Amino acid sequence: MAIVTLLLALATWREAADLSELGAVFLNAIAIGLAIFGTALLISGLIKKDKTNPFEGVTRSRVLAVGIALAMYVGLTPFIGFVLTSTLFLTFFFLYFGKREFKALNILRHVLLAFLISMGFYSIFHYGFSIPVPTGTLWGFLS
Amino acid sequence: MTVDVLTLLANVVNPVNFSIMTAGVAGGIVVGALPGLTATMGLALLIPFTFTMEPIPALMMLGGVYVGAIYGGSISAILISTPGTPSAIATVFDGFPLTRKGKAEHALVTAAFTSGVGGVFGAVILLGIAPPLARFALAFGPAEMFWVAIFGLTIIATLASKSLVKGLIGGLLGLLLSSIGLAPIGGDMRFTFGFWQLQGGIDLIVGLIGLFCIPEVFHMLEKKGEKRYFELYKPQKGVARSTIIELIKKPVLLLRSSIIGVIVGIIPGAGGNIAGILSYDQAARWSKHPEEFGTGIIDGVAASESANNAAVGGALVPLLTFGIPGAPPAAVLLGVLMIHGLRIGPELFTTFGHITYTFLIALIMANIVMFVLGFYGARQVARMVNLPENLIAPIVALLCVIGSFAIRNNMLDVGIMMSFGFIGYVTRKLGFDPGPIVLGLILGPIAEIGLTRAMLLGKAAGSIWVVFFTHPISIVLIILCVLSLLWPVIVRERTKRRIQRGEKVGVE
Repeated sequence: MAIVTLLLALATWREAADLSELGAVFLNAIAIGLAIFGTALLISGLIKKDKTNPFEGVTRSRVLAVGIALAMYVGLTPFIGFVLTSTLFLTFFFLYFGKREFKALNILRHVLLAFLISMGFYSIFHYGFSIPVPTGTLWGFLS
Repeated sequence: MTVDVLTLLANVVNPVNFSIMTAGVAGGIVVGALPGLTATMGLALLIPFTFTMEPIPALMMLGGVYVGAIYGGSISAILISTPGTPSAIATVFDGFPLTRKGKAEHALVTAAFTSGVGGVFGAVILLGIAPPLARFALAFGPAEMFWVAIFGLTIIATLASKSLVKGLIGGLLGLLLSSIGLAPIGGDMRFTFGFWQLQGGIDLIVGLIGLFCIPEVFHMLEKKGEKRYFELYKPQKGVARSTIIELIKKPVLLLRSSIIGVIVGIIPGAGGNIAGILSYDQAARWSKHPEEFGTGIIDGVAASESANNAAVGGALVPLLTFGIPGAPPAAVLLGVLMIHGLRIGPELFTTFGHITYTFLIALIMANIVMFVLGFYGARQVARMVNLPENLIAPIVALLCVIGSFAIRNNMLDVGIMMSFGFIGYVTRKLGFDPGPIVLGLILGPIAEIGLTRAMLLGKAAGSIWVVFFTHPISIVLIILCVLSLLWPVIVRERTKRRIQRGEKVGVE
């Protein structure tokens, strides 16, 4: 993390180099701060080596599943719209992180629940508060 | 024009006006509790409804929404670690750990009670000493605002109690993120990478939702096994009453937090979010057990909530006396005042005195209504955490998507929010709290504008030193910054000495 901080300091300094004096003054101050504290973190890391695993007890496949599902959620929403994406997203969470009973009736029940929740939130925000929700380019009718 | 107190009270308790205000409070609580819907947004959405209303019910309704939304922000902060409004950032620090311990009702009742106390305090101050306090806020020039921001950043020392260096790096990262887009002075474009959507910078709400909320989605589901992330909430009799009795025994905490809230609220640009964080920081510093802050204690929730609600009254002080809104929701109220032909300045308290004073009394009443609604609703709301985690987690993500999209109708914001979420999850694992990053994001524009303007003033005056280091308010703020940074070191040394003394006694 210390190396990342120092690299960020360098990138900030370089970005500021192309700016006017007024636009650069704040960035330069940040770059100096990052360089100082990044170095301090590096030194303290070298002196006091921490061997504890920050991800101890974490199941990698589960974290990966959450990450991919979230990325897919953001990636698919502009194409198939909020309601459909949310229905797929919720169904995946119900089935994968639930009791994993993949019987047809159970899957159907979860899909229905996911759809109702998605529609519920869509209605609250879209009709209740007139707040726009992401619409899809492929199936506009289900936004 | 003299104002008859009985007439004002009659205006407030008029059944129609009172019902409209109560509906405003209830609606505000809902708006505040939904991540992405801010108090400002809620107020702005209601402006068209006030066009045809009389000024008194219109202002009472909007006052109710403002008060309700600031409290409502604490509900999602406590239950799902997502501040419904930026004001509730500091409420997360202890509110969510309380929920995880199965004490959601304790946290919600604390939030309702202390929000009511802070809100009434702020409204009373607003009613009583508005003009002199507003004059004090106007004494803050660019250099003073810069030092206010730096003082805010030094608070990181307390927020990131595990590592001062990591906390300060987090704060600087927040400042860096705040610099994305058009420079406020000079107009340079920074870190936009060719995306025009980034020219307006990263929205605070987007960063806030990503850093606070998405990591919780991961945390809820990252481990296999039967153990729940949230302890089950079991309703117990008398929790609400015993929590309130416990809070009544902490008058200094409530008074200090409310005073901080009012003062911060008065300073233009520094809203309930900074009030809550500052107050939380002070509560931790003055506590006999600072190490318990962040682990789930009601003092943390009380400090944040009483301050951010007191800031509502504070933010209206410069608005009603000088037309300078102390916070974004107050800016919306300024628009409504103008729509109804109410001119800011002395006339507001003379010619339009019957409207202004009715509004101010209604604010006090709105806080009481908010407490009653929060008190009786806490148990029902707390039951939400008993839902299965594979249901709560995706719903939280769903709200995050709506919230971040609603700000600017922009999918890039959703992508940025999600990226912040991934980064937040990893950095939290590596010991970097999201609090300092968010604080940097909030204080960045204030610090940059203050720094650049003060430098320009210094150049014009022939000495940058004079502008930054010789004004009395600046000197006080610099001293506070130094004390703020040294305080954790002093506390650590004291604790060490205490432990050493204890060991000696043990040996003897």
